[in-house]
Amino acid sequence: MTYSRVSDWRMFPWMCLVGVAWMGAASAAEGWNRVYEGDEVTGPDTVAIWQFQPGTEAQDGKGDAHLTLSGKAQFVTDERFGGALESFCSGPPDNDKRQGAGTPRKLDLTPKGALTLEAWIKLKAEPTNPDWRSGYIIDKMYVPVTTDKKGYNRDYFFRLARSKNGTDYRLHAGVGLGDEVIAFQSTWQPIAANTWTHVAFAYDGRGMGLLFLNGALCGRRTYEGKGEAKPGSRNVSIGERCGSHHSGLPAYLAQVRISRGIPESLAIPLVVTVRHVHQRSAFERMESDQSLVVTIENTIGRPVTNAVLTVDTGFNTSRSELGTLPLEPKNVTVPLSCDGRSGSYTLQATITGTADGRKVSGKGTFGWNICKRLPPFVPVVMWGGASFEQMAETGFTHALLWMDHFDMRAFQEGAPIPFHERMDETRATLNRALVAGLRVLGKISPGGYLKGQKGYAKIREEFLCLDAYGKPTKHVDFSLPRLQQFGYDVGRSVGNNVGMFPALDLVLTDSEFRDGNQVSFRPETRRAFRAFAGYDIPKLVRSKSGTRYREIPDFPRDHVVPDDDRILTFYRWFWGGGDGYPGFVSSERRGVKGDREDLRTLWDPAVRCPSKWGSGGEVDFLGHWTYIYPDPLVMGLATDEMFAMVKGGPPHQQVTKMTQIICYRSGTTETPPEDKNKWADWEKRLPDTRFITVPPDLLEIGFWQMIARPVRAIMYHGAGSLWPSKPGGYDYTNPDTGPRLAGLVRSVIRPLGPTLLEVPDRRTDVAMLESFSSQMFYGGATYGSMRTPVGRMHAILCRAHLQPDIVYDETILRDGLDQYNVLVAPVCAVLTEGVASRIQQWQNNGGILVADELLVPRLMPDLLITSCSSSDKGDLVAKAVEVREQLSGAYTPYGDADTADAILRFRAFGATDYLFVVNDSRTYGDYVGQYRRVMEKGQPLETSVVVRRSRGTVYDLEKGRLVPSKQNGKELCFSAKLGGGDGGLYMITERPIADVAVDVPEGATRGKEMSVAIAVRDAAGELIDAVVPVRVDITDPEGNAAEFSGWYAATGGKLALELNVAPNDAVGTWTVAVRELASGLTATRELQVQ
Amino acid sequence: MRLLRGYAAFVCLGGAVLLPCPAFAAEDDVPTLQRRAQSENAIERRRAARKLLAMGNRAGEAMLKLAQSDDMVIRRAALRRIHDVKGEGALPVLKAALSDPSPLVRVVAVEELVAMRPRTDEVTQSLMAATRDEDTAVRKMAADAFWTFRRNVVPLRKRLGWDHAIEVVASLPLAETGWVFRPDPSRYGHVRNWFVPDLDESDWFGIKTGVFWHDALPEKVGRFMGIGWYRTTVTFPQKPEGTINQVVLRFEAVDESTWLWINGEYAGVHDIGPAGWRTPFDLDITPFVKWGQPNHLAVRVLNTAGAGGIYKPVEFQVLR
Repeated sequence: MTYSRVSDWRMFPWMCLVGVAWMGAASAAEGWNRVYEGDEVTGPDTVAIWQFQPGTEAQDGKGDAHLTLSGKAQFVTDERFGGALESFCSGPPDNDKRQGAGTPRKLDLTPKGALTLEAWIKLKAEPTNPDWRSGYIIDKMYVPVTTDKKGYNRDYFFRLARSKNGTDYRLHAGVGLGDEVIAFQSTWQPIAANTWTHVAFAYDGRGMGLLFLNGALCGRRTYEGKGEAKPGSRNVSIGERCGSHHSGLPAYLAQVRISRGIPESLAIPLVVTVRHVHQRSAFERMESDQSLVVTIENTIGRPVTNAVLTVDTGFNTSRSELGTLPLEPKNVTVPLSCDGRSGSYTLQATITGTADGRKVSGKGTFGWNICKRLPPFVPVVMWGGASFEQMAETGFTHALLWMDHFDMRAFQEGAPIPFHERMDETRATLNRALVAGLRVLGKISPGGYLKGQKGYAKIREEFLCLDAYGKPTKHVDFSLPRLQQFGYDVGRSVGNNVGMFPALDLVLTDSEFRDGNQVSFRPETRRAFRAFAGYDIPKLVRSKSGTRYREIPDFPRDHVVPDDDRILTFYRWFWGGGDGYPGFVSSERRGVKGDREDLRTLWDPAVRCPSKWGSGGEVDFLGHWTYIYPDPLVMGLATDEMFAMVKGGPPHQQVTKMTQIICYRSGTTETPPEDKNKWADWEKRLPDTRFITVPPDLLEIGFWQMIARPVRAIMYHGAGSLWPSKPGGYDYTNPDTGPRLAGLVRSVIRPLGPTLLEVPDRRTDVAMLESFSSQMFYGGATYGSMRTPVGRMHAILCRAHLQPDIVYDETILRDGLDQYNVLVAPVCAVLTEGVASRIQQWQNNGGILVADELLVPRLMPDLLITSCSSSDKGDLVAKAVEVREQLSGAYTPYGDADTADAILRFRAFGATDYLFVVNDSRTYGDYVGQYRRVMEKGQPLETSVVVRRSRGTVYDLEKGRLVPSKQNGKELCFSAKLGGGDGGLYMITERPIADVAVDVPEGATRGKEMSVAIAVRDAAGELIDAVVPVRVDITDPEGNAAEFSGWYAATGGKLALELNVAPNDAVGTWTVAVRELASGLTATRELQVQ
Repeated sequence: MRLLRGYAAFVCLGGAVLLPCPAFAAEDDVPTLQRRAQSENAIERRRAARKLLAMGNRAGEAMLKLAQSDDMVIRRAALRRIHDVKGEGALPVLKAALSDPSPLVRVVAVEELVAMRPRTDEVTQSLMAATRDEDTAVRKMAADAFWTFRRNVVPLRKRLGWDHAIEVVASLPLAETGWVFRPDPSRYGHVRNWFVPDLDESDWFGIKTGVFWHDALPEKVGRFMGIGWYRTTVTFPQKPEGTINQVVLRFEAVDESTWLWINGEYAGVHDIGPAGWRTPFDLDITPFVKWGQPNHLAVRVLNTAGAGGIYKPVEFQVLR
């Protein structure tokens, strides 16, 4: 057995050449992967070695560094190595002691010059603390960072860090030089539990450290001008941090060795490393302009000539002649083609050349993935923490990742932070997400942190709002340019670091941010308003919530104010963005997006503000979360309000909607009865819980309320209540909710999602005015809640089957009211001249104005429906009946049902209607209903539905079948039968679907494009004037589903797919099968791929 | 007076008000509109009434007749227009409307009376009478004409945008004893500053809270309907550490409406009418609290039906 060592690292390669025939590679030579013996144990280069053999378990095989066990640590026998040390991670409740084993102090265990630390570790599959993040392998340092304390910064440490997801690990090591500690770390690596793994750290005594995993180099760093480790007096600790009881390694350890120099078995004469410049290892198919950097480090010390680099990506090979390799590291950029079939690949980069007449070579590998491009889909976002497995199980498409890494740093720098190691772990997660078929919602909160976190207290002082008397308040004035710049800087920092990862396609900019705004009387802010309006902030303006009209002298008796009323002008300016908040999130958007058009930004809760355009600034998606109790129709209120808001937003702005999986216990129950036998199961299990799981029937009603509107994504918050979780936060109290959501994703969102994305709202002729002027002078803004008469009126109208559009003052002023036959104006106690006169004019032209008793005296309603002060469902239904009775004879809605429990909502494409029917028939159940506050239990419902169109064929899209219907003159009637909480989506086409066809070429060539055309036609052979959901399955000869298999929308009855046959796809007969999901018709074609 | 085309002019106290009105067609003559204003179809009759009202003086007596319409919506609109057109001359119509069967009409009458200038004794007396209206909205509207105390703060527990669990970080139940009480049948207590801390209380009665006032003082107060005042002084605790979002007095219930002053400052009102008799509520006292010192409280209570008073516990609460 050859066993040579060097203590001068830089001389090592040539000595090695003399001693052995070698092949340089990024992996070390064999030799490390066995039980040490002979000189490897007792030779002069071994400083200490512990092999834990039965009978001599604690003994140092070389010297006197014998071990003493700590905590629960113990010696065990092992089949492979004979013996091992079992250590544990520390952690309550039963293990708050140091673990592992330690030597006596003051032994000479820190060699001069180069040194190597090695061990075999076998991680436990079920550690006592499943959340452990760091465990020490070998430690003699205690404090692993530079400190100014005397006697520190000495010796070495070697530890294992674990990622949050628990599957990836990173080696960390450090060397104490006396006045400082220099640190080294590996890249993230998967390490399997219950498997022996060799780990090693080698330090050359001159600033260069190498980290190895199973003999493969996985980390390397050089600190120029540094020296050898300085010996200290601490003992060596194995399986635990020296002097600590919080860093035990939950593993078995064997063959732990400290050496002088570097064992030959770990020698790497030529080092080839392969990396992506942005740490990407996962790519979408057909991504262009991707490349890798191959770094060749010539450690031979002499020129290598005729160097040739061969790169095998896993499905194609390229060759580059590099000539003579310099002595310095050489970087070679190699293009990375992503046109292969989806899957995992190992790229091999091999360098060959000649040195001193001998052939030399080196090899590096790079594991990477090509991931299928996803067909169009409705994002189902988990706005909270969950594992990828949990996400997949329920059908979420997006995971939330916190990306608040740079806010303070960016503020201090006054500029965006460039690519930085702080986001290494995030980048690894983004790679994993893409491989898992997931996408990521990144969260940044620079504004929220600045206005709320203690660390910003000093900074904040400079930017506080002033009150009218010039006294600083606790609120931050985000209109200040320095803060707007800060928003951009943080956004750009995230863009610089992870913006190049396609898995990140959505970024949440400062959720729940605008709650903290307030009127600011800073000189700069007053100047800004003066520049806008031409006068100072009116004296009667004191707070953001408006000025009550009764406090205004000489307020107009008819409650109609001039369009240029000064107080109103101020509030228009303030809520339209003068407070700086919309501009701040717009700055974040501008920063984070960079040039990525496909990366969208989201801001929520968007309608927790008065009814004014502009709250979300320039963000791509508005969102708003809603608690579904006590009336699930509240989901539709906030959604419709967002649609009203985006009418005044930038053209790219769209709407998303979020449901809270949690319920406030205080909002759904009362104090439990004294007799605990009457408690629900969850009350017995979690008597102190504050947040409980939303009842499944309410969740489903809320789900249908969301998707009945053309939202671009749906979201959920409250992971702790969806899956079993640690008690104390969001508690898991209803096991039926998660499976219900999973079922809805499976049966509705996945198959019908692409169709839903293509079908707009049906133009309605009923509007509900939410008046900003009234809110500012009287009050009554909903903030997306039904705890107001305006919110309740929306639910009343929905139950009356009137499908209201929510309009703002601005909508009326810009678009008029001509498209509406009915305008409902709840709590419109103050209007502007422009709005009031337009309403009058429209009313004079025959429009029907429905209002409550608060309507401005200037206007006289056609129908008066008194405001509803109760959220009781019975009261709301009674009001809905009253509305319909009063409208009777004057107005008939397009769609109708025989009960207010059937909630109808139309979307439309061309001549085709998409009717959502949601079953709101509910009663009190025994989950929370026993407290009589929330009717959470859905009941079956069979309802007769009428659609006032002269003809049509009805399809149940969820069930994929024709629905019997009857034409009564101009009314199309059918029956909908729904389970408790259930909803249905009915497509009503002008003519029946008669045929589905798929057209493919006879043959296709690997590496080329291939077209697939799908058509859905009527009996006359005409394309159906509808968006028809279809399922496409493309299968290769091996039976594998090819890219682009999935659900689609045949818009206008047709769908065209351009496939890219991969150069390594299977040749032979491929099948393209299509099924349209309305009636279930199918078609199949085969083609030959060569 | 030259009129802009398509506008009708109404003379009111503040001058002329121009109201847009539809172009009048042949079928829009007054008799036709009057007839249509009695249509069975609500929308049709209201459209006709709207046109009549828009005519103003041209409608003549027809406008006054609309104030007698069977249609409450028309009566409401007519009252407003009659006031517009006739000014002080509308007083008899408005006074009569205070007896209208519909509170929605009465409230408009009150609103117009409140707006009437000058506020003559007759107007004041009409409004005073309306402060005893059986309908809460009417009563509140009328009372507001004499009310000078304003504070617009929404309690934390009622804030629509507050999406956080609320924790009580410090609390102090108020003692049921140590209060004094005085009925205010003339409803002038607030004018005579019964809320100031240094008021002479020699003619006030000692009273216990936690029970209705007729149970606490059966002889002296009995089943009194109207306004009664409670006063006491409480030493609040020291200010707790950490963030405080609001300090409130938490009333588990008061029968039935409540106005609160603390240390002579008006803190707020809870007045939802008779339905409020068993509703718990908070009143914000954050800016007025003297931490660790005696604080004076004055509570004005209105009872319009059944029992009255502070009959449930009151607690000082610090909310986070």
